Amino acid sequence: MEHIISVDQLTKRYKDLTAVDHISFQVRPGEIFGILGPNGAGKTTTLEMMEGLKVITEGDAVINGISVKQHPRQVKHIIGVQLQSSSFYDLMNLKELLEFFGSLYGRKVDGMALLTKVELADKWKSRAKELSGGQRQRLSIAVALVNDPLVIFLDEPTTGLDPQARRHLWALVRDIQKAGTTLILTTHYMEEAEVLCDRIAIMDSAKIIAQDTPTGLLKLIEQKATIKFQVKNHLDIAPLKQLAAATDVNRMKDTITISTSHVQDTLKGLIEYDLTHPVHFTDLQVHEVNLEDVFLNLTGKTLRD
Amino acid sequence: MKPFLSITLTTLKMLFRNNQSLFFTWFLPLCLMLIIGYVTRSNDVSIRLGVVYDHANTNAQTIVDAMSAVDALEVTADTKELETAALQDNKRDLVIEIPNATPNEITVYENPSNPSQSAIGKMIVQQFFQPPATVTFITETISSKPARYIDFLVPGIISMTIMQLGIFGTAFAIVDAKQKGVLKRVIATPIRPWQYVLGNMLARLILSMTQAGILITVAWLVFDVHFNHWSWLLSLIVLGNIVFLSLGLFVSGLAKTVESVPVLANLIAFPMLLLGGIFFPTDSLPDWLKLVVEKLPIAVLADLMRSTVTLDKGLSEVYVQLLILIGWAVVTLFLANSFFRLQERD
Ligand SMILES: Nc1ncnc2c1ncn2[C@@H]1O[C@H](COP(=O)(O)OP(=O)(O)O)[C@@H](O)[C@H]1O
Ligand SMILES: [Mg+2]
Repeated sequence: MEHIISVDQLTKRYKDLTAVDHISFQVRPGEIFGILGPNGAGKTTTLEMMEGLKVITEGDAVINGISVKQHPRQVKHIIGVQLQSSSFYDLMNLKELLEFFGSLYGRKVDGMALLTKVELADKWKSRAKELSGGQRQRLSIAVALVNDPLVIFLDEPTTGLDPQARRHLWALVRDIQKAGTTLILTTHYMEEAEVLCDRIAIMDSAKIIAQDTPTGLLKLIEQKATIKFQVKNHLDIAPLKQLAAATDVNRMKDTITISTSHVQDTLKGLIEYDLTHPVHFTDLQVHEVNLEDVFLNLTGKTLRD
Repeated sequence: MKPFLSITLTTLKMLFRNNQSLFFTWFLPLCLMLIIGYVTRSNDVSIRLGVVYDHANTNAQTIVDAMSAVDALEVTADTKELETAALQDNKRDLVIEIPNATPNEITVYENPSNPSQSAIGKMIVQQFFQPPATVTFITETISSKPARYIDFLVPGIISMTIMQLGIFGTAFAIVDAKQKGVLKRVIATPIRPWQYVLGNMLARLILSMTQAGILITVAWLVFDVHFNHWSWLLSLIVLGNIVFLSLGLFVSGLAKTVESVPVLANLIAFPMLLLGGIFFPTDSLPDWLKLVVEKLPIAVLADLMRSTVTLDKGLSEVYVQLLILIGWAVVTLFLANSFFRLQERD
């Protein structure tokens, strides 16, 4: 099978708002597929329709050959779900919790083995509310694993986590992928999408505006890098737009950002310009282009606002 | 394990681990029963004896005079109709009839609400008919209203706990799970909504029966309250739970946040607690109010349950009440089904 997930014209309309607007994408078996977009883009709604939790207004999602619209219960059997805001019963310990969720799938699960997998074995006696943010996310991934799913959905698994906990979770996600499971995750961290995902769909205002591999997405825009520096004076930025290979120039307070399709040419031009019209720049930095730039370029907005 | 069974067992486990709710559902009603029971316990040991006899019968008159002299007996004499009616109203513990025609065949009418008073009274009375006169006692039981306040109170308190646990317990737990998002995660599994709801309700029914069992046992040990007709009592507990668990689901459907649960639940439960004839009979209420109040599910449930304590009424005597309670079960099930959704539809 080429695609394990096939989403076709999926749409969700609320009374006066279209939260997801005719989106389509495919996911290959064993892939980590990311949906990257700002808050309110429609990521959670998309996932919850695919999980059979929200009524689909239009279109359909087919997972492992099963239509979510027609057989939501069958789909639930083969998917693992981590919700964006996950909380659990507080009167059970972690091991009991996993075994309870297993039983809801009609399965007898080894709670300790699952907890070991997500490195929470020593916490088995704790209650969910006693866990740290990162531990709770790992618990909810363990819950998503109780039915040995073919596909796992993770909705913003690292939002609100510190960098260390985030990396820890990335490692866990990769482990799950290595075991042959397909993963779909949403995020609004471009770095996360870039390092973790095999392919990414960029979503904004209910629509998918681009989808490709991370490198493929970076090629979408002409720009290859950004050059940033600080100035103290009221520099006129119009002449900078004439620099070789410069595609865009922005000023935010004292920070000037030049987008470029060829770093060397633009840098050379900038230094030559400085000789004749002293800019007095400090703190010069060159950044490779990233998904943030792609998003900015495609939507005119930043990912986090 | 089957999902349904697992939900029931897990819910039960959580119910027993929830110390706060255990306090309110078990400890509090028990304390209430013990305190009210002790405060209102009567020290009155005199036995109210009614005698039916022909005043022209001098033999009988002698016996009655002798009995009247006994301190422990409070003797009244009247016609059979009036005396047995007084027993039904619980104004007699024992009524004896000394017939003219067959003076050696004494009929004894016992008051089942006051079994110990009746028994003691009968023993005392028998002393007056000692040999050489060979007297046969024909014992009959006449059903009566609950005699002692404690017999009235205990079924009321059991009904109250069924109501409180059914409405508050259910609504708090379900709305909390909904608000925290736990329910959404449960719905993301292939479980069917009815399995979840019924599994949950079954656990609550088991808790409620355990609780009733404790109250019944303590009432029996401490206050000598006798429940009879066990299968009948059990059916009433189940039926009562159907009504109040459904109301709990109804409130869960209306309440959007845990904070609004007590408000909505009290709107339903508080009038019943106050007026439903739990702690005092509805007799003293104005007629128009009584008419309404007597049909509240709590009043009907408590009344039916009282009929298993002391009354010897057969089904035929309480079938109207029973029909009303079944009617309530139908209505509340309908309300639960119309207003409660495990998953919000959008
Ligand atoms: N139940 C709902 N009723 C109405 N609007 C909703 C509902 N759920 C989500 N939305 C709206 O749909 C849009 C997409 O939301 P969501 O899918 O949660 O975005 P994301 O997960 O990307 O942050 C938002 O504008 C949100 O306000
Ligand atoms: Mg979201």
